[in-house]
Amino acid sequence: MTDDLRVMSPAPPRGEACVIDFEGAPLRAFAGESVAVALYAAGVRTLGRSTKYHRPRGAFCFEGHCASCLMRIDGKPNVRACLAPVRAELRCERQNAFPSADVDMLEAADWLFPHGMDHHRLLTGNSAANRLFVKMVRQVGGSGTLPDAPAAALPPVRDAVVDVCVVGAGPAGLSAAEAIARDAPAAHVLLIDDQQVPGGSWLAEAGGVALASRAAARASGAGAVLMASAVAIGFFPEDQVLAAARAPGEPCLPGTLAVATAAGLVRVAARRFLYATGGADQNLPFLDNDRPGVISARACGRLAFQHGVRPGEQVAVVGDAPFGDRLATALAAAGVAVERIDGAHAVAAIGGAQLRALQVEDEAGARRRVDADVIATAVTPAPASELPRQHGARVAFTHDGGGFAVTTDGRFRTTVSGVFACGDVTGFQGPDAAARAGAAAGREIAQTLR
Amino acid sequence: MNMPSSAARVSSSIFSSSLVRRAARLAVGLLAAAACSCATEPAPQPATPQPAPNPGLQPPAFTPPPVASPAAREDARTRERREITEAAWKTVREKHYDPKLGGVDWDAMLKKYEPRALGAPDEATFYRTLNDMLGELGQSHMMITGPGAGDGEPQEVPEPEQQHGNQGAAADSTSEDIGDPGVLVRVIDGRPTVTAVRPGSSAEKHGIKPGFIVTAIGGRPVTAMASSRRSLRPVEERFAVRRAALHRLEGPAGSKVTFSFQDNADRPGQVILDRDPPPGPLRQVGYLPPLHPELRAYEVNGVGVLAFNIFLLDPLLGDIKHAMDRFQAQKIKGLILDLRGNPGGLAAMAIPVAAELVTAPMSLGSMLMRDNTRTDTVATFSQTFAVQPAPGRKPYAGPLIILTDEGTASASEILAAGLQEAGRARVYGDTSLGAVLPSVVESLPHGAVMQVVVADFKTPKGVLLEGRGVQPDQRVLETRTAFASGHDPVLDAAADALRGAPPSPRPRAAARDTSTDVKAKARSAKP
Repeated sequence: MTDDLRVMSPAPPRGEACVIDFEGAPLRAFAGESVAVALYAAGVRTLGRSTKYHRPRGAFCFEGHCASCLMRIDGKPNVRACLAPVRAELRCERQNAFPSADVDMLEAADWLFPHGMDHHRLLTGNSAANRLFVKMVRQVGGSGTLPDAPAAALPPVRDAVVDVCVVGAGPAGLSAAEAIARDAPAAHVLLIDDQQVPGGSWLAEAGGVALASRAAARASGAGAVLMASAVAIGFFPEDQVLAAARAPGEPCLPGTLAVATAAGLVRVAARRFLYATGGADQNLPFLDNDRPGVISARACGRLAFQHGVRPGEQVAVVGDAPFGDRLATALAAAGVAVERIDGAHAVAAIGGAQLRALQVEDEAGARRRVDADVIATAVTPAPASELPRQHGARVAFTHDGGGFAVTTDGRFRTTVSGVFACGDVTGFQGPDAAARAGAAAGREIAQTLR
Repeated sequence: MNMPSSAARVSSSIFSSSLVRRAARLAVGLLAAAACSCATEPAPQPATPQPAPNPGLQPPAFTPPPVASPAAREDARTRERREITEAAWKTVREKHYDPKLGGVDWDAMLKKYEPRALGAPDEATFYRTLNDMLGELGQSHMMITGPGAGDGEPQEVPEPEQQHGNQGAAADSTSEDIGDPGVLVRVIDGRPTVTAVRPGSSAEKHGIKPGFIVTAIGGRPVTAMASSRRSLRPVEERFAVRRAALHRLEGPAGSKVTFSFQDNADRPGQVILDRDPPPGPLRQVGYLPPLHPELRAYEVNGVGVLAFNIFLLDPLLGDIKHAMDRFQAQKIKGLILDLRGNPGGLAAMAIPVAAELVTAPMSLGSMLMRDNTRTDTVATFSQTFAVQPAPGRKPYAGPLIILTDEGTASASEILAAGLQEAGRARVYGDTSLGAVLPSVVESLPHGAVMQVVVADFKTPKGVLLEGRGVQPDQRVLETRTAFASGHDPVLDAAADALRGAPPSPRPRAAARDTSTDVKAKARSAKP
């Protein structure tokens, strides 16, 4: 824990101050931040330990796409700290560590077995040793401990039957929701997003918070309903009851979308689905790239521009994605020491739980050391195509698009009738292009509703 | 070693009234560094390349233009500016303790900034550009200012208090009658907040209480003033806000200032506060704002608290020794040395203060300086802050906690870090400013002055404090709620620790205990 890293200028709008409990210590947080952001702002980089090898883990993507920030929150194990909103009295603890995540004796597993530990075969011959070892393996290999209390009774499942369900409130989703609600004023448009604040990849850009809040205001002004902190956890094609319940007019598409919210599960049936789920941040392959402090470039941007948290003293931005250049420029303008590493391969992160440098190799094979306490990886995000794929939409691998992207025709239609996709989930394009695509997709969808 | 990085306060204090009188005070700043090193002979005035013709004294030429054309005036000013810029640049090159300047290409910096400096539309911009150039070094205690540099807040609008009549504002106001209304403004929960109100002050009479959020002083919101574009670390930014508020609150004693706030029920309000005269004569060390040296020493429930606001031998050292004698006679259980808000001063004074607190010889750290005595090669040498218990005095050997915050700088940080590293003291509070570079003040041509770093400081274990600050052993979270309920959370935590009492009960303490029990059971129940 070093310092409160929040800066006041340029000051993002912050919510009410509150105090959360981090392993017994009081910590300042502001409404609107996630636990991961509040801890980062307090200088806490190590949020837990990995299973088995007990390497230090810190948040990487800060938006719920990776599982690097699992913590025990309010006595519940394996909660993503980056999706958990802060509130007064919230308790968070790091897990998989003995005695603490800062000094974890079980980390010995990492250096005792440099070439990997085959725990299925190790010490299985002798039965006494085996019993002992089984105990140890469970201690080393388990993730989290049981919850403090049995789960409370589940809140009742709620149902939502709408005309259009837009998944993802980033540039594409916001623009699309606005266009649909404007062009088809009678339509019920539901916009769901897993973050506390709509805006998606806009929030990672300097000045993006304003763009995002204006777009959100336009969308809700046009009549779209935004549901934030709502995670679309799966599409259930066999669940037909809700879809059939719609009374007059065009029937809903078969199947329901399950959405997890703090107030319980919501089942959504709709006549059109639009997937604007964006992309998932990726890491670069280099030695020790899992160290806390190696974060995605977009996460770095969100820390700085959405939350007003100084990401570090010296940031090395590595990777070829275009937003890496924008991030480097914007951070430098905000007064953070930045090194943009181009045309070179990252070889290794240097430092333990506290990053000290990045070793890079240029094309000629010469290696040099770039001092950095944060390494931001700018890699083309992988389209978050899991959900539309589960819905039956065809995906295809595109190298430039970042991975398996949803296949659409020129009118944003996927291979499933009534299901549309736009933005980065159809192949990486960046916030500006995604916003344009969203507006166009929204108009297309509105036309089909008439 | 005299001043923390935020320079805006300085620029105004130097040029708002009398430059000459202040210049005499700057000599004290030199002393501050000289006293602790005795090594950096203030080097001769940087040689100006060409003797600067003073345009005011130029003999009339053969064909004197009836009125100096704007172009001619421009030329003269450009020449002056070039001389100031080059002198500043050379001073850094020749006097900075690190001949390599931390890897900054100093020649390139001159090329980059000189055209901008010469083309600056006004003096304030000119000096800001030079400070930008110094800012490339990324260090505190580096700053340049001169006539017309302004107070760092461009486009000063007339403050409303002038309408209320500045009774005490004599035209040639001197620092001796600078007053303030008695509120301390710090950044709490990300907002400027009143954290202390001086008893008997105008602010107290007007009902200002700790916990109030400061929305405006003198009609304008309080924001960090930047003297250069060098990025501020978050702790520096919090300090800059504190400085800016102080700067705005201070003024001629007897004058008034409007103070807008949100009270502890978040109702907006505004009062007009009087600037109370200082309780005694003001003293100034180097670039620090003038202060009334103040020492508070008291004992509460067996714990002694010693607080002073500046490192100045006379009269404070005598008072400190006197207070320590009294504490020893009272057989205190523990001592709190409150260095919050203490900006440093005479660095060497950290040594006799430490001598009151250690029983064996120790070192607070060392300064790494450039060796100007060697001409053949650029070399550095170091000077250690060695502490010996004073002969004939019985040092205090009991438990010791030092309090720090974002206003703890320079000599205060040397003292706190040295005692912390030696295991003699525990540090409570917040990260200190991290402005620990011994510096001297140099005169430049045409009335400009410059503070330049002449040494680096390392603790005995080799930790560089500059840009890092003292890291507390126990970080105490300060919340608006705590201040609003009349608490000083940091002092309370330290006092509790010294008394061996359990920390002040927190509302959730009981709930937590049971939850850990449940967790322990869950863990043991795990197969």
